[in-house]
Amino acid sequence: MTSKPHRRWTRILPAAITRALLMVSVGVVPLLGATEPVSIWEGIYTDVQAARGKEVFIRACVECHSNQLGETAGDGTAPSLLGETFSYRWTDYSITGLFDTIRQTMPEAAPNSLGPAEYADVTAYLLKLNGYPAGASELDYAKRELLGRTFIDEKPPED
Amino acid sequence: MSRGLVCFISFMTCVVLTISSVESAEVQQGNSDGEWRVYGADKGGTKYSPLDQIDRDNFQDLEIAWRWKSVDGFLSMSTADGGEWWSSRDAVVERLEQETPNLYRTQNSPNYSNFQATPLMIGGVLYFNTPLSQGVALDARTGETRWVYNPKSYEEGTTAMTVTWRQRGVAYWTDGPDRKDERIFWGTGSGDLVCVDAKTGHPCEGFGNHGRIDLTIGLPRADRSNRDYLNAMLYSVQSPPIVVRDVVIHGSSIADRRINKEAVPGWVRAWDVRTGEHKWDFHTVPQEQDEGVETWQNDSWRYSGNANVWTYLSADEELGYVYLPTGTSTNDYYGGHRPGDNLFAESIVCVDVETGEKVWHFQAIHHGLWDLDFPTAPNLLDITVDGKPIKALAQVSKQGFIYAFDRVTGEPIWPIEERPVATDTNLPGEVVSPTQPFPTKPAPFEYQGVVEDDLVDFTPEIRQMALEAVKGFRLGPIYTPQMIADGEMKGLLFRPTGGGAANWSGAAVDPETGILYVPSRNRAGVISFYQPDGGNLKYTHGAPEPARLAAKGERNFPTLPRGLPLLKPPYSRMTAIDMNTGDHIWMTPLGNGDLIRNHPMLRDLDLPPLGGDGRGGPLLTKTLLFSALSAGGSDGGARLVAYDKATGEELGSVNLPRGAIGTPMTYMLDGKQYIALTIGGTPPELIAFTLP
Repeated sequence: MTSKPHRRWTRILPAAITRALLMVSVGVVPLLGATEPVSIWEGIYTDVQAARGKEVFIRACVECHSNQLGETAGDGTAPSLLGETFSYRWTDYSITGLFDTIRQTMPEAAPNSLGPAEYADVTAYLLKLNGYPAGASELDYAKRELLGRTFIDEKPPED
Repeated sequence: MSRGLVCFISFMTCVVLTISSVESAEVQQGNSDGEWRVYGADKGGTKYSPLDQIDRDNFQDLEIAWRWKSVDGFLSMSTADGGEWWSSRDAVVERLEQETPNLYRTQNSPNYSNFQATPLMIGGVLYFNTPLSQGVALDARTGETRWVYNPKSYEEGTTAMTVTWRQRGVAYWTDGPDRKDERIFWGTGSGDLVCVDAKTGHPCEGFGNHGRIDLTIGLPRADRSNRDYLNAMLYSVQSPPIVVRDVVIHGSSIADRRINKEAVPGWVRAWDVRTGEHKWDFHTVPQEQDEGVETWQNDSWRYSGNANVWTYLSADEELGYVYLPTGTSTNDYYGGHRPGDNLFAESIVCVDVETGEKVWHFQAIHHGLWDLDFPTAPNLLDITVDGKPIKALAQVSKQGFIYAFDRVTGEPIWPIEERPVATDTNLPGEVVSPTQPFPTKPAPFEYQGVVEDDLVDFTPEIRQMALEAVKGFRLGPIYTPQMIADGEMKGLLFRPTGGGAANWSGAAVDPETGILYVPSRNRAGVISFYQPDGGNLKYTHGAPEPARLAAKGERNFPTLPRGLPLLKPPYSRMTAIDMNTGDHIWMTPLGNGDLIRNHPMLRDLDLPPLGGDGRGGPLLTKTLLFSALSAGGSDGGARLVAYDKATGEELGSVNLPRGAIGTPMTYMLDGKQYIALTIGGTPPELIAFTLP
């Protein structure tokens, strides 16, 4: 059994580290401002990052997940990552939640075997595939607390 | 008389004289001198080492001794002038693709990620292979490279199998206690068997064709110039061979997502370790004169394939028997083209290593429709049941059963009952087996089937959501027949899936206690069938159908919003079973399952550990049980966990720099015990832990 003290420790420590990192790095995160998270619709990754993410996706994910409708065959039991299947699964999830889920469960045969930056790149690619816009700043693992308050939500009505 | 023959006779005399002591001890007790000579520790696949330096008191102090980056990041190719060009994987692959357009399956060029090997340790040297089929020897003290042999199998095309570019390890052979002739064997992604000198890595000149055998020769429908509809090769080897009494034996990987009914049969092949001379094939899909051919109605043996051993094998040197755990036949989920029981698919076959003749067999699933291959070598162990000593074989499975036999005779240790199962299906042309074998003991080590009672019930609201989500899906116990989505019917929700309760990481057994430890996963699935264009299979499965459904805004799997689990926990677990009695001793979820626990609808509930942090391959020592998990490290990352063998209590946890890929192993050198395993990276790494 996992001991309780250990469990608490794993919950507390990353948050503490992140807070410390944020205090140091706030000055170099102009897009995100001080602690105000941005909407996913303002662009939370860059096109360059999504292109890197595509490379990672091809190396680590595409065998089981089709990334283009019908064009690349995948395993029948791996869920589609596109369109309604994606939005039903992930709507109202935070970006950090999406990132952590991918990191801790994928690739299925070796979860957590990619680096944090690669997981961030793949997350960016999935957002791009699903129509969320690119922006000026990369999706950065170190901003995980802020990104924990950015949600995958429906596009707000245009003014 | 040739020198080789003299050596052979003297070695065999030695073997015969020592067989009752040394060899049986080797099968049962791992390696007594701190070595790890076989993929699964020993030929019995115990994954057990009697080492005890790392224990509950010092486990937490483990430090990384060294890290080795895979050579797959730096490849070579032959050039027109006869030279050899070395560069990054990306540059070499780009050049290969320029020279031969369409060399590789779309988006499936040589890939170094699936570094699933478990190294051997013999004489202070680690031996293993890489996803791109390179053989490697390292200094086990420092991780320094001793040699690399690159058969350049990636120059030929994309490997077979749904999940490509992977290797799990190598096999070792020596001619006697003096270890004058030492050899390393492995199969390649392009379907060759390679033999090299263990000391230098140079190909064995006297073996096959300068150290290589083309395994596709003599195998029906395995023409190496052919490609399947995905532009992948038809035949690969991805798991280590086994060497028994101077015979090297191996299985194969054959694509099982197909659009044609014709496939390569997964015959198990055997070769002389010295010369590479062909010794025998065991016809897992029988030929005209073979036993079992009558179980392939309408002459379907003539074209059917697979029924392969894609995983590794185990063997009893003393008996001279090798045990073959076979997989599903063509096609995984639709059997309309192969009416009958389909021997020897999804079976354990005991074969005499000298002759290739079958000694006994047991078919676990008749006419399989669920991709429930036997995914791992059976564990061999000696136990005492009701006062009677038994040389036993325990086979864990994707389906969550353990099949236990007297490995000499094939007699079940506890009754295995042939029970009626449902046979109704809406898949045209499918004839379902009316019965399947059910072991009466041990109890299954994982959930089986999906009925309403299995749906998650964390709160009444969530349970109601789960009930809504499964509407239209067929539910039922294990071995409920597949369904094609049609009108209101959305398909069969079945469990375990092809990903298995247990899979290739297998189980460990303690030869001193007879206790078996098996990690497993709780996952359900739905297969979307479709009629393929351009092929002759009436139905197959794969991405096009879920993709078409997704485009229409439909899902092919009952999903709850925001990742809520559909089924009751745990989502992965470790189970300890006393094979002397068949009784479960303990079960513990593998990890806390924080990803699920932190869901907004669950975070305020008082839930027990949920598991779901992977089902890392077991490693067992005299003192501890180890598993590598994907989460829960103090940095939020992956970790190596030590468990109390008697209770399942977690005793300690050491962070891994990246998630584990292969199953860990252990060895002792210069008075220090090490634990080594492969982890992710760009490229992936082999790392070793030891005490400070």
